[in-house]
Amino acid sequence: MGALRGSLTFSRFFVLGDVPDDLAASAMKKIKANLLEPMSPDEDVNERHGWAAIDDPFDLELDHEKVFFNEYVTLALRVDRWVVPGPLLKAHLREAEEKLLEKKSLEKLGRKAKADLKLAVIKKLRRQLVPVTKTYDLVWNLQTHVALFFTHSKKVHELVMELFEKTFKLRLLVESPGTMADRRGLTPSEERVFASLEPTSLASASEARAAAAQEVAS
Amino acid sequence: MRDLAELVELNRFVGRELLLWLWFESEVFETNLRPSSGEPCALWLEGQLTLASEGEETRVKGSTPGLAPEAKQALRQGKLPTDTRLRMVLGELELSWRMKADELSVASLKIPAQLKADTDKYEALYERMRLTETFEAQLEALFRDFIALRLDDAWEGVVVPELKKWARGKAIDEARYAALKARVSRKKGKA
Repeated sequence: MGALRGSLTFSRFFVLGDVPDDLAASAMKKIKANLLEPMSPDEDVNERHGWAAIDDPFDLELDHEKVFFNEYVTLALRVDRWVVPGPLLKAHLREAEEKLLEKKSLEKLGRKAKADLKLAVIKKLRRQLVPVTKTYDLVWNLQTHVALFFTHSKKVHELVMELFEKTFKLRLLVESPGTMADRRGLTPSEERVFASLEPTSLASASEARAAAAQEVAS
Repeated sequence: MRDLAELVELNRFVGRELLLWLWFESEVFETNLRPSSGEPCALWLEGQLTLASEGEETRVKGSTPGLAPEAKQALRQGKLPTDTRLRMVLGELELSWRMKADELSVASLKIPAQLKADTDKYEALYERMRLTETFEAQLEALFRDFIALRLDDAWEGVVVPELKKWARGKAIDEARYAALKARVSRKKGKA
């Protein structure tokens, strides 16, 4: 679930770089420039992403009140994707192929003709469908420089990192044991110790051998 | 500054050791944890616990999975916790969540929020973020104590031997361990 309802599933990001004092005034134009632009069936793109209002993915009329709330910046990453069901595409493609072969008195279509036909059929089918929309909330605390992003998907992380940097000219760094240790402010000698750590094991040599033998036997 | 991508990937196993340490502390101190830079809290594992090593996994389910014999057996086989549900009582707040060790990611975090987004979206968001930040500050305080111990010579010299005893159901020298933690905390405070 997202930032507003239900239980919370999120990844933590740190915002790197200097946040301008007038962010609320200066960023709105850039946020608007990076809003999701709805896809049309005739475009060649299959997927597009951009900002939308938190809590309403179809609200693309963002203003200061919808985005800035006390120390928080609240946005949603909206990802739209055309999903044409495979069996539907297959059936329509077969029908279109048959019609084209008959019209051109051919026995077989070439590779390029097949690809062009497939694209035309996909575009035609898209007119009967709507893109699948998914949204992921982002809540950025301007005081702590922490942004919570409400998904663990690495693929979607890449999308938000790219869009965030494009919009705010600031980078997002995802939380991990390494970044969390680093933020604690390690001394140079602690940094060296951290870099050379070996994983802890509570196995004794004999128990580890017995476990390995049991695994081989099973 | 270290390359950021490298820093993100560096020593992800430390997240598993954090879960191991939280589990150990929870049992040794009968769930009562006292982070040096946070609030006292009660913390315990619940619901499910997964331990892994080199592709081998042990999954334990139950109300107190940490107490299950197979969980300790998995530790003795060299496995470490990778994923578990935890519950924390922090002052008047009771929170539960699932934690994946390698990413230190939080999933299905349940917080005692009172306001509903349907009546006032932004006030509800504000309350939820405040509760989440309180939770995160406590997690961070626990992590600070853990990493101070992990980077100290005492980890190999004292903590790992105590962890091994605990995994084998042997008595822990609680006073020695508590004194060690206090010493490491003081040392870190001076640094």
